[in-house]
Amino acid sequence: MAIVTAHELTRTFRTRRGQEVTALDRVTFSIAEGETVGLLGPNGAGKTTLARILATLLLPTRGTAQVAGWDVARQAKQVRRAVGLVLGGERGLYRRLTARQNLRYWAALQGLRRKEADRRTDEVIERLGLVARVDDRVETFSRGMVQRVHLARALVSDPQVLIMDEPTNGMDPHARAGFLRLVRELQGSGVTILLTTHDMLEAQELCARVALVDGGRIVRAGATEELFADLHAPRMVTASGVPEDLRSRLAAFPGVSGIDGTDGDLTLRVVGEEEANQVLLALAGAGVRQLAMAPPNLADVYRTIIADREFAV
Amino acid sequence: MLVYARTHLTLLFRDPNLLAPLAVLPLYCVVFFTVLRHHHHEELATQTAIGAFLMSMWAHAVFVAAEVVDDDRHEGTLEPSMLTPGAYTAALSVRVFSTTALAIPVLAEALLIARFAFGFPVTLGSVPLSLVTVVLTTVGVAGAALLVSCLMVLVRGARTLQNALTYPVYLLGGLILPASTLPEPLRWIARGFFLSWSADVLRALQVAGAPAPLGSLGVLTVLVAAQVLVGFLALRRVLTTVRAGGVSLYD
Repeated sequence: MAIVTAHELTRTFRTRRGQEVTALDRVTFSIAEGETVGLLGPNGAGKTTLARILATLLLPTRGTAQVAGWDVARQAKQVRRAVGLVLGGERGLYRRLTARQNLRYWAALQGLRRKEADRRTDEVIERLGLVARVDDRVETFSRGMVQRVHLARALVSDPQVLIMDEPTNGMDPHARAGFLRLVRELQGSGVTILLTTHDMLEAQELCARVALVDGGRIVRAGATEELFADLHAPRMVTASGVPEDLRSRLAAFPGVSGIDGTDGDLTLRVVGEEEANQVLLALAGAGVRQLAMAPPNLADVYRTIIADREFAV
Repeated sequence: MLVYARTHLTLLFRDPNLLAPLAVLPLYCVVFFTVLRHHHHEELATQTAIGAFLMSMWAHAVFVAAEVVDDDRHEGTLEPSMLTPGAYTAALSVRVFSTTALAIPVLAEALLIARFAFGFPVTLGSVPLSLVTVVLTTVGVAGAALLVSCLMVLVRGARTLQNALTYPVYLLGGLILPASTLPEPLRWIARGFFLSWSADVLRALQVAGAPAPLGSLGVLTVLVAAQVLVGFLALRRVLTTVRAGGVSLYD
């Protein structure tokens, strides 16, 4: 059963020069209860706008969206009771307060009575491994600890839906791994999660489904495996000891692109099962003994669907 | 409600810079009382202390209390705060009021400086009514701070506006000269501003043997209620504008 639905959701902004900019363009999608869905896309694609509308931080210009059965525009208070927002980055907490003081304040803002607020605060502190530092000021915390407090803040009201906006932004690999472990535990407890991220690996690890967003529209959505199959996403072939003449011949093979490498080392991308077999046969036939082929990942799918704009503005 | 006040006072005391306007008061007092001594008008010491107190409270409200929303935006806490089910406006109001109330001890500070540093014969007449007036004034000034906080959110570079909201207000609020001495168009404006009634009531309470200015206290109560209502509604309106995407949620 869907706990989050959006129908023809549109959001436009007017620039100072009076130009209308469409940040979100007739987006329709849904998230089932207990599911984790990733929103992927380049900067300015519209994923944060979508997350903010669902969290009731922004009103849609047109279209409708519901969270836990409540309309985000007309029943914002009820939606807010059902949603927890986790932001990435250093900001979003009172840095001069301790983690516990922050959590008690947010619990009060969520309308929890004192005893319940204390109980929930203690629960999330325990659950997120904050016990040892809970009475230290947030300004003394590492980036990973700050993110745990962000997550604790979102969980203090026991929301049905967690919206995470680039939560691992700026975290080092250890902190990131620890944070993702916590998210997986939450998944186990049945929380519905909407994750916006640039990190393909993170989306692949956590999300049952992903939606690729570009230019304010969902350009592709589905389970990651489905996306790989639908798109004929390229596989990456790497090999060593490749004769120079074979390298030239491989460039002409059907489905092959992106040949790179020097001194006998080779990397190339190949699309299609049969085409990949032809490449492997040619390499093996030339006596190449060190070769590997990696299956397509979400990054390949992303690059295939969404145009590379590099530093275009 | 208590948790909002406690949280905000903790934030304030952990950043003593925010209490700077209160520390400026002794300087005001030294200047004012030196002038009184020079002109042999020691009998005006209590009235002067009241003026200095009201000026400090106003400055503290405009420069510190009014920045609560903008500080939240700067800290990045405005965004998650907007996501709470309706309590944020109430929390902001409590936080602004508790910050403004920190200026109340300044009245005692001014009277003590007059008494012990200058040896002036200061006394606070009708203590209960004086306290009621001080509390009403604090509520009104907090209401005005809510209104200024809206400006802080809506207007970039609102600091110039903050500065502009001091001396003209001291004049219109009858803090430098009684509102009754202002020329006609200004007097009308001053009469519609609760601060001029606060100053008048507090001054009237210090006149020995004079009847209690209950009528003026009634007018003050109505004007304070109006000021708080306008401030609260304006803030709610601004937060709605923020949600409609009209104002940035972060710096």
